[in-house]
Amino acid sequence: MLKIGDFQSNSCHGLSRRSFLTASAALPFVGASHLSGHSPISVSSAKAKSVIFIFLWGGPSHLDTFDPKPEAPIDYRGPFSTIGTTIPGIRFSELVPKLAARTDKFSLVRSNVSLDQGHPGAGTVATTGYKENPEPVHPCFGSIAARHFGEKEFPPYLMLGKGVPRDVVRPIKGYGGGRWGKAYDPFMIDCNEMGEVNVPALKVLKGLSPERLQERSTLTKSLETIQKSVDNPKANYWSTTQSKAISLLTSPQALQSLDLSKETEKVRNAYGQTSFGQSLLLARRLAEKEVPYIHVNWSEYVEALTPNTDFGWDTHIHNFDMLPNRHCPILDRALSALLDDLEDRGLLDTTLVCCMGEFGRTPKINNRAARDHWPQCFFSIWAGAGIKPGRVIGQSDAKAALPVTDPVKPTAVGATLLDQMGINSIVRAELDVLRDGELISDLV
Amino acid sequence: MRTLLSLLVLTIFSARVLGSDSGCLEDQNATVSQRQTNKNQVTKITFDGRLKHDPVFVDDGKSIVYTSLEKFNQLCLMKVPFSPGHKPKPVRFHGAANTSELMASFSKNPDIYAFLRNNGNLHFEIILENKITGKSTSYNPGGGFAGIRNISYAPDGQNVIFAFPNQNGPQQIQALSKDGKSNLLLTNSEGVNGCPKYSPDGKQIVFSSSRDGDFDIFVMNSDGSMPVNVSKSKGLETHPCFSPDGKQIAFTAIRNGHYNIYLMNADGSNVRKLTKHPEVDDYPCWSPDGKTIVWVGEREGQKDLYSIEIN
Repeated sequence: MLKIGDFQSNSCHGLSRRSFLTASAALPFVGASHLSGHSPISVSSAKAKSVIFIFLWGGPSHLDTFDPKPEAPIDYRGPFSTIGTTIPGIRFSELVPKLAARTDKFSLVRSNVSLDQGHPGAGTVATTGYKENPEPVHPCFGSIAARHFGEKEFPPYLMLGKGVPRDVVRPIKGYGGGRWGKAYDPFMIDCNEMGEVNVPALKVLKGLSPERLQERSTLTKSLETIQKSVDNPKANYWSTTQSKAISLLTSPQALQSLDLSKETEKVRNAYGQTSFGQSLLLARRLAEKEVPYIHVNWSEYVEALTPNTDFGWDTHIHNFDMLPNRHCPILDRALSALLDDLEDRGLLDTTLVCCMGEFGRTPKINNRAARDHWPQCFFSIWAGAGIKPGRVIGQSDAKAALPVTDPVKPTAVGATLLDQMGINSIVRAELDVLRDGELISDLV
Repeated sequence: MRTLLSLLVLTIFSARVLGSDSGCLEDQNATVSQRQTNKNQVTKITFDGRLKHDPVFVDDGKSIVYTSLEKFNQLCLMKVPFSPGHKPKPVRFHGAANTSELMASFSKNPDIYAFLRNNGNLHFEIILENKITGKSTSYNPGGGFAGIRNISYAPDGQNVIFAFPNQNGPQQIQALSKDGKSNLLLTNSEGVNGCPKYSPDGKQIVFSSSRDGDFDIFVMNSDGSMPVNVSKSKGLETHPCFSPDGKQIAFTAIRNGHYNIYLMNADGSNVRKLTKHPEVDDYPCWSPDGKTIVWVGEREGQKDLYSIEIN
């Protein structure tokens, strides 16, 4: 990776913070930008101008959050109480009180299923609808949106996080274009707990300011330097797509959208001083710019407590410590703030929010007083853009082990997301994606 | 003008922190007296807003050691002078740590302490430090995922108690000798037992347990005998700790979705709500003189240490 600069930006609490733009060989959005957008049919039926897909990577326990079973035996139900929601008869765990008070803004699916019980495989299922094997990997939902909508001011598929979701062994395969190639991979943006935004693929040479970036010749020279250093045959994208890269890099509006210091402290504080919270705030700013698909990762790594990983939801140990002490308060605050913020700004009608993990966790408490992987039944949260709020779709059995209603398949998640964006079954058929994806009909 | 404004803010904040309503555990005698309210002053101890937990007083109450998310992927033990009204800079307690370290606990001698180290994939070990002898001992349960948690050093420095799952699922409290070689099971119940803390005289242990349903506060003898549920309330109660005189217990409870700090007598009577803020208040700890409680408070989305003087 080549650094080609840095600049200062302000952040909350009056501190001066350094933001970075970096450039590397990847620059996937540049590669994608030769595609000016598919849009073969009208998107007038589209309800969602943007999708914010919130990926609770690692697999949160459904029993300890949104599908508690207080009447189950002690070795299933766990140690948490339940609280009421705004929906009569529906209770959540006591660990998510803010979301429990906002069930009039979203709907909850309690009958999601996955096709894989390992993280990378299930991660691919969650983001593409299909198993990783046999290859080639299917394009992920964000890449389908990217191909359909094409380049505008921003790359059409942004992924907010430190990197492609992974475990300590390997990343998931289904994060990007899959069989369509890297041209449709996501454009990565990282946001830390202070709201400092780092664009790993766009690092600019030290000493360059955003103003100097607008000197086209300076940037072009830097990009040429990168091009020469890239030992990737696909690097010849550069010759044809440089201008679009430059237009993004030199767009004051685009750069402003990445600058969270433009927000009031009240808004920033509402999301919480966590990288997840500030990432959701950044996602809202990008939704304001109508970026089609914004994928927000809870963490890069699934592991909850492993050296050099970033505290994912994979709580094989410490489940009953980490959920009340860390994960649930962060999620509860940040997601509630996002829903409030989108509603307050009138964006909830045009922004579809979907929040889920790659699977749930074992109903029976494991022999480490925690919970393991459980792809047979888990939850997803849906809000905005035509989603009917205040509903619970699907039902699990008495131990939250299996759906007792029709399971919501991974392809249904993708089909529903894309359909709300106007990428309907006809378009999907043209693109040869999610042909078997049925809509989660009760949601819309 | 600025001073007046500060006083106004402080007054409002203090009123929000120390509950003057009847917020309580199941409406038991929950209000701290108005006389006490007027004397209470909340002070912010740290100012970085990072995620924090498990503060403990050290150096006869002159400093606090706590766990903090110092890097996006690393928890560190930090030490900060306890000097209300000032803005001391926290420093790394173990400057060279390159993996997560958390949950420090000290014996009466601050040179003898223990903490958890994340030494592998979902794997923890207990490090027993003796700065007097310069000897460091570890207790590593081996195997794959190992979720040791919630350690507490005995006041006499002879052993450490901690929570660890047993083979068939429930999580139990165990005691580990100071040489790290032998351990003893102190609980043998269903559910999740955790967050054990010794009483100041070392004769009792307070802990949380879900054996009766959700997390309640229990007290037992230090050999594990005579466990008694002293809170018996619906909703989570956790992170208990004895006052230095052993007569009271501070703990965290969730009521109506709010995490707040509560006090009760050691037998579970006279429950009082100490903080009353809509954001999260958690991890109470007592100063050695029993006059102050420090906790991790979330204010405007930022987590810092706060202190309050109590009678």
